[in-house]
Amino acid sequence: MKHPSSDDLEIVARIRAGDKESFSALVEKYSQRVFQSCMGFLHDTDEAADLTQEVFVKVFEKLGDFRGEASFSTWLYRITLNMALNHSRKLKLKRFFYRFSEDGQRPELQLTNDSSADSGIIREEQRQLIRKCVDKLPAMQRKAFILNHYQDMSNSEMASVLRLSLKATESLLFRARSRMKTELKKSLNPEIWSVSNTNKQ
Amino acid sequence: MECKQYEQAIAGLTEGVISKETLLAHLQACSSCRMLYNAWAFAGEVIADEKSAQVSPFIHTRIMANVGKRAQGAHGWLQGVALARVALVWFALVAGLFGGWWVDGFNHDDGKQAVYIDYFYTDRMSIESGWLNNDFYEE
Ligand SMILES: [Zn+2]
Repeated sequence: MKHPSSDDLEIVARIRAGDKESFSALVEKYSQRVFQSCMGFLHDTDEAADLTQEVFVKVFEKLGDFRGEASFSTWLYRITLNMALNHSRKLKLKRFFYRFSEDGQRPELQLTNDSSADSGIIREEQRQLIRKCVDKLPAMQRKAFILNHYQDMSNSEMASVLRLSLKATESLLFRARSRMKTELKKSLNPEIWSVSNTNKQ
Repeated sequence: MECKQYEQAIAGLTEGVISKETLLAHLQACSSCRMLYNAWAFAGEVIADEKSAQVSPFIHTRIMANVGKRAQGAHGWLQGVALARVALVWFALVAGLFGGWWVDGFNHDDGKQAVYIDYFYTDRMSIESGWLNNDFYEE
């Protein structure tokens, strides 16, 4: 049986020989997974779709640099992670300025007497806090965390993408989870975290 | 046992050190660990939601249009063809409105082709919502 990555190499060879349409097969095969990683960094479907497009255009342009030392998918995910990380940094800056641009004030959580409105707002606040915790992870931990939790990637696959040993990858993932827990703990404000839990249970 | 150890267990950083029963008993008594427990569980839900998001059905067409544009470069003569493209899209819209029979014959690929052409000649991503919300694209 042929290894799936050898199919990718054949496709890459066809594209390099001038058959641009063959690129379509790679897009078909990997766009959802690339999108999932982008979601882990950007937390927004439109932003993630735009970045998915940018990643594939970049991959197409850089295909000449692909030496086949790693599998095509490993190479693709490396490009995705680096572009997503850069993009999320730019986005963070953009959002920072956007936040202050309207009235120069940081929007505070507004609580009303309506309990359903409260829980909706608080739920969203909780989501934002969780996204911030993911975003606060140091670059390598964040990459590992996203590959593991958004792509269900095995430790050995992650090790190839991150160019680490298996042991170092496992340790990185452990530190990512531990840091995530620490960040989450720091965000534990009873006003925000008690409400939904009583609603949920 | 200290809260720190329970926190480790909540985040899945230790296995088999604390039994489920012991943990649940602690959660009943300790509001801070209970909050972390609920927050951790909710983090799992948020991540699962984001992870299950599906990429736009147009992404393939968008990418291939962009790749096509990069590969060929922008040529002046293509602008003339762009006019024909506008006419073609409008013809498709009008024909779709007036002919149910035509709707049946309008397959997925034709729709994608028209969107492809739009992406190729313009960078207007808003075209997606137009296609997603019109009847022709439904099968
Ligand atoms: Zn405790």
